Amino acid sequence: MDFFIDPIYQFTLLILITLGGVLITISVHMIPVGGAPAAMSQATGVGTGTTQLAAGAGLTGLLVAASVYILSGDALLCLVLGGIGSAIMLSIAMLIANIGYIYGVGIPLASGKASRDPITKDRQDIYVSKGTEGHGIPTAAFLSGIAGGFVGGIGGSLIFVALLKSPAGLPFESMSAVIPGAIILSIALFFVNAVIASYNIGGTIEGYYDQKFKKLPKAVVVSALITLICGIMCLLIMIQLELAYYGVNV
Amino acid sequence: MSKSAKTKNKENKKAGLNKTAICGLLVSLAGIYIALLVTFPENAGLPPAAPLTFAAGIGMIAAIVWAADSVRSISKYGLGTGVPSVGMFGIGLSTVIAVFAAFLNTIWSPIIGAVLALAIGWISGKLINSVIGMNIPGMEKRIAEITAGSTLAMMASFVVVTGTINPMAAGGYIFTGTVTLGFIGIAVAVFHAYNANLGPDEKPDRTRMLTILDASMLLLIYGIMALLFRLGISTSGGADSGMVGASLQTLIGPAVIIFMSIAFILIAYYKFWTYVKRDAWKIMETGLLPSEEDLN
Repeated sequence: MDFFIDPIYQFTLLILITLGGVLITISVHMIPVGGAPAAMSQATGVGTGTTQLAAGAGLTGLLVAASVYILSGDALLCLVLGGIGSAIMLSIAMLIANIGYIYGVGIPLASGKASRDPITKDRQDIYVSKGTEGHGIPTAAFLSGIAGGFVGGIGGSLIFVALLKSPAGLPFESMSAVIPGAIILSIALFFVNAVIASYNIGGTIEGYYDQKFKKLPKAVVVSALITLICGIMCLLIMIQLELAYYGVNV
Repeated sequence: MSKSAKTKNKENKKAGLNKTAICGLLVSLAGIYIALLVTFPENAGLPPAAPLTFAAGIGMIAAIVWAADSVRSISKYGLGTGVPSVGMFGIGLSTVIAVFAAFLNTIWSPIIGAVLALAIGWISGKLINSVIGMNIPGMEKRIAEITAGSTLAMMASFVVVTGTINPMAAGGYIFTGTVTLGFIGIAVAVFHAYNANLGPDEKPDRTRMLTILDASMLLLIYGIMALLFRLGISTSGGADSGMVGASLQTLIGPAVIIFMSIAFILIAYYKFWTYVKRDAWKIMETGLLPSEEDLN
């Protein structure tokens, strides 16, 4: 029996899990999500709920992270590629939505919250149809969304890697049991944090230049507290896995 | 403020659980414990065969009905983010709590899970209501109930599929990733009914019947899965290679679950359709599509 549970190591992992939860919350604030009005092209953003959009991007990130971890075993590579996977997924979603808005619905892309696009400095307000709050995903929102996807993917992968590294004494062969466990727990934490952010922005946001982005600190506090509570339980599960592997009766 | 609104407010402020909640809690706990405690003795290193796992299936349906009832109460105020968000929040918390409680590996695991879920759900509801400022009356209580209902449903699903709550025996279910089916399946069963029925003509009994229909369909999938798992346990090599073929003791639970859930699906569908016809103002046939000759 050569296992050793280091409390400082586990505490560091707990901090990392909390950081991952906070990153997911920040990411949802940057993704242009329009909800039901956007589905009828009456608001800026992708036409679906925050939870679904963030989950789609986050799960892709986790999938990439898990595959990279199995292939390489490198934690840092796993984080970065998880972020890139999420960003690619989200940019494809926004691109296809934009093609649908431009060629299907026949509308110019315009932001309802800013009179000029913060990046290209183009006029926005004259293109917004009457009775709507903008439509499509303009440049600033698109770039904000890609950044949001990257941050969220890193957050999800960070939780995954921290949970995976928790049973440090396990050999690589037994990882086939730990990886699904870490994935299911990180998916759970991903959804929790995505919904907290979604409640903070009230369901719709355009990007980093939206007024609602200033409410971010509140969501960060709540997300950090809830992820901390869940993180303790997740780490205890992982420690028990390690104990069970070495035959300790728990 | 009208009288009905006043009573509604009072109900939200009350700390105790209402009738549906108490029924859901007690029935699901009773179902899980009946399935766990009535077992055949241990044989050849296998987990003890539980013949009455269908009781846990009934418990799962009761827990899902409880959670779905709370989703209905909270979503009536208008969350602004869609009904599914609160269901996904509850299932996210309860997956962590259910796996954690199963890992405590005592006979008290379901009760510990329910209490933890009520506590953590209440704390998160309080944080969301006061810090983020949703200001939805009764949010703490409702999120606690959704989390507890989902947790009990999750733990009941462990029992349904593997016949035990011991995580090492249930490890084939939890640590192969198959539990993901429970993650999304229970979430959809919890939030789908209200999301599909919402509107000014929403009736509680119609919503509840759709919940039972959803939960029974999930239970049917679980029954098939349990059958495959039992066959796998008995015929696989390794530690339990002494067993050849599946025994009647291990297969009786899944078989009852499959037939029971098919019966539940038929009854619930028939009743739901009756309620739809009752609440609809008029049902019209759309007619057949025009044929080639009519178009020319």
